Amino acid sequence: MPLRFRHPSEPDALRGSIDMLVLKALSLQPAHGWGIGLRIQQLSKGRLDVNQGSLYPALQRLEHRGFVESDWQRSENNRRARYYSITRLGRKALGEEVSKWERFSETMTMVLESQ
Amino acid sequence: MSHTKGFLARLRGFFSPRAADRRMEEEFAFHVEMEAARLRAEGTPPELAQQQALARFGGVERYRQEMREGRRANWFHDLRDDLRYGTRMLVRQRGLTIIAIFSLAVGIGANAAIFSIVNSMLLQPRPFREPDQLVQLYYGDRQQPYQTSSYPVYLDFRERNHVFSGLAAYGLGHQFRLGMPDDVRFVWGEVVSGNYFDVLGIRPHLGRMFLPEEDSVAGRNPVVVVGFALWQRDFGADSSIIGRSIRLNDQPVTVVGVAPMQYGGMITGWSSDLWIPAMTMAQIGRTGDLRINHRGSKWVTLVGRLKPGVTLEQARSDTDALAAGMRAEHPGDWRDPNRPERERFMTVVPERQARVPPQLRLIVQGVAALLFVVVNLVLVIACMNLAGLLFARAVARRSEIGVRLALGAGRFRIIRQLLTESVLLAFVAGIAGLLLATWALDVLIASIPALPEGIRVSLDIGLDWWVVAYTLGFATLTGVLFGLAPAIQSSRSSLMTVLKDDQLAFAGKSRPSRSRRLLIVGQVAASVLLLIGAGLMSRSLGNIRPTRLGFTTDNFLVASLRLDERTHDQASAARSFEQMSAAVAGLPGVQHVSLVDAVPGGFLSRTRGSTEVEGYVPRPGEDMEIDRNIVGPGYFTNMKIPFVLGRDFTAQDREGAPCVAIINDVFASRYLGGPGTAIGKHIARYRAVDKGRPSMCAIVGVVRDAAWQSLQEEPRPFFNLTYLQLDRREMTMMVGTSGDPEPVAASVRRALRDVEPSMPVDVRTLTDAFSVSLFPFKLFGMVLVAGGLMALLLATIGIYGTVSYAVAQRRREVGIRMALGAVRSDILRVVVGQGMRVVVYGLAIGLFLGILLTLILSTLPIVSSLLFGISVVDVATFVGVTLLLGGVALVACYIPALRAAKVDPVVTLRGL
Repeated sequence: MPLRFRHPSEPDALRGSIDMLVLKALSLQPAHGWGIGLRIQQLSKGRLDVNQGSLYPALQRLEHRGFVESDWQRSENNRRARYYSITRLGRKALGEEVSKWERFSETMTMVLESQ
Repeated sequence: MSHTKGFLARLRGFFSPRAADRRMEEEFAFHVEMEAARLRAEGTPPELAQQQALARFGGVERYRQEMREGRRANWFHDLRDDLRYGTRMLVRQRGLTIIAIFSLAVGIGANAAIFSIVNSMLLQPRPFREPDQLVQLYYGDRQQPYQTSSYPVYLDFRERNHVFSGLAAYGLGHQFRLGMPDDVRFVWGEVVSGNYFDVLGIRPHLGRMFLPEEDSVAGRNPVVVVGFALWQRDFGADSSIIGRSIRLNDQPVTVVGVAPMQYGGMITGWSSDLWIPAMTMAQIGRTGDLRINHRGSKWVTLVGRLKPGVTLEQARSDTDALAAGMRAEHPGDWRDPNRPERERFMTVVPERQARVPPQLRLIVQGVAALLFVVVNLVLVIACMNLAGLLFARAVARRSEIGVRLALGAGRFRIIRQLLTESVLLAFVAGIAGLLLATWALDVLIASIPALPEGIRVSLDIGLDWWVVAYTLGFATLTGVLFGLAPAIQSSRSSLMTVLKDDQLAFAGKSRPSRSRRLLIVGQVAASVLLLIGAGLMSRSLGNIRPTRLGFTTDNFLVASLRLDERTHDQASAARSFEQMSAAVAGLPGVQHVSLVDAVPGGFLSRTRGSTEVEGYVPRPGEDMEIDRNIVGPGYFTNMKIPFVLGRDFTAQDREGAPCVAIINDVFASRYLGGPGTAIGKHIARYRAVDKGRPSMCAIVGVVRDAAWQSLQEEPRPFFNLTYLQLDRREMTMMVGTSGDPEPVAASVRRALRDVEPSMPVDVRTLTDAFSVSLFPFKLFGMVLVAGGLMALLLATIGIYGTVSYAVAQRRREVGIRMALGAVRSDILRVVVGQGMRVVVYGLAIGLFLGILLTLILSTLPIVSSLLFGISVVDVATFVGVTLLLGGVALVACYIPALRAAKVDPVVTLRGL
């Protein structure tokens, strides 16, 4: 099943990539929302700087689809925080999305670099 | 697993948006705080850090909104969109929508109306305290187990039983004369034991119920509890009635209480006017003492409340044990002296099952089952129409769905959209159906004929919401099932195949699909079944009068004569009856007058008595309780009932002269070897009140059969005696008039009053009197005919819709054919032929099932008793139904075919 989201205000591609990034970040280890944002920034070496707020609708979407789970835990500074973790279904979806993305970018590269 | 969790999270958010909001705010705040802390750690000044953290988060309000929508999106927003879109689609295809809604509304309305009646009569709890503890005790033998017992037997059980916390007795259908200041009228009441209301747990609306001492000594405190309806109507709901004295059967009786509105007596749907204790009855009834003390006077049914913890089985075994003991004590109670082989016993029946009198249960169940079949067949036909419509629409929308799929709509989403439309349709139809049902109930109640004076039917018929829910659910399910299959199928197709298919549609591929044709076959078959039922019923109703009654019902008046039992003895009663007959006979417009006990075809139950026939030896166990009627002189001559042999009763056959009897020819041939040998033989009748002394009556005449009891019965043996030789205070006068009886009624009323000023007078035409005994049949026939017509209408709509749809699909094909030289008649023939072929299949299946069903059903006694004067496989009905349905179907096919034939080939071909 394709990972696809529609919303009037944002192009599908962007929303799809946020979801993919979140899943990727969570595939390493569970984290709370701020931690996910930080990890995405670190993984992209600062090049990707999404609006941090947009993570939360994405997390909600992913939870509704059963790709991530959440529960409330004590954070490192002893505050109550919502921790997200990826599910088996989420890993599978991530794998599919990644290979799809690779095919897409390969194709795009092939087309754009052809002379 | 994680799917379920996600679903649960969504549900939580949906049902408690506030908690979800709180969690969201907490999460956002945590995020901003963490970010601010990081910024501070990087060296941002604390006052700026918070601000920058918020800025990096983005528009908080926007994300809040997005989250909230995300929580609801799949529910509300999509639903709203679906509804809006569905409404638009339904409005655009107005014709189809109206047909579907109308069909469903008829199906739902019919179900709701019929089951509301059944519900109000059989299912609604009666106003008893803890009705599950109540049981009724019937007395009888194996042949007739549900009969009444005597008051002494009741007292025996009341004193000796170990299982009831209270045991009461009641006798139904007692008629009283209620004296009003300016009038005397008949009222109906129950005669009950003093603990009756206590045992049932019914509290008075006003005043009190009976006291124990009012039931202990005969004739001390004459008291009455009046019914709510009587109190409202005849006493102006005056609360000062408590303690007042009213006159019942010309005796003063004190009103102690008013029954609550919702209680009208032991029979559902019947509204009793009053209740009096058996001891009061002993004072105001002519045979009151006898009722209480005589073991042969059987008129009560017992109703008991089980002690807590006592099971039905325990109650049964205790009752059986007691009855066995009493059998030794009073053998006469438990064994008919004339038929010692028939042992009597008590049958214990839970109140819920006794709701319908057990002796009627089979009939009521049969009628209820038939009604159930009728209304559900109508509903099924209606749902087939809905299914046909949805099917056609789904096919027509395949390209739309293909396009939406290609644009990225999920399959689930599409299917849900289609389901929303079905449900919407069913919902609108449900509302229309409710309106229809209320209207149908009004019509039904208005059709209840006027009953003899004093009898009131109280039916609290409201719409039954369970039925509404059931029918709505059924319709929705149909919509879902028949909408879903094509929806799933079309959601699987890709845009290319859909578009290609559309191009190919003209190539003769799109005859109505197999499923649509099957729907039509089913509809036609079901309609045939219903129409056959309706046809058989109305034909047999039409047959009642001329063949069975032996005389015409026009030009007759009937007047019930009930003399005061206190002031008249046998001789003066006979004198009074003769005076009244003479007075009425002398009126202008009156041709003849005769008296009779039970009006032919009338409302009254039949009278039977154990009878011995001179020279006839009954077979062992043979039922010798033979029906009898009591008539006056000249009755058979006046009613034009022909004599096979012998003579009519005359005024000389009176008290003191030898007792005479007139029998019918079935009696003569069954017991006496034919009319010739019957004359001069004697009939001996044993009645309980005669204490074993038979009365011997010589047969002086044999008449041809006439159905004199209820209309539907087979001729059976019966004999007649004359009232002049019996102790009678009540008779019915039948007045034959030379013209329209209506204008004569007033003068008959006056003449009767002149002779008996204190007698309540009830004069009505025989036709009116008949409408009462015919009402159950009429009602049943009405329902069947209405069901048949609805089925016919719905099936016609279905056929028309299917053929129209096929024609619309084939416009291009027709255009090509015409361009290639086909003429209009060719097109008509092809279209009508294709439609009618399906109809003929349906007809054949329906007729086959109809014959099969009537043959099977006619083995049931209930059904055969409903069909009189016609054979079960009634050729006229079957041929009529075939012609009717075939004709209507032909028209339904022909109209769209005409439209097809008008297709302009140039226009359609250009469309290619």
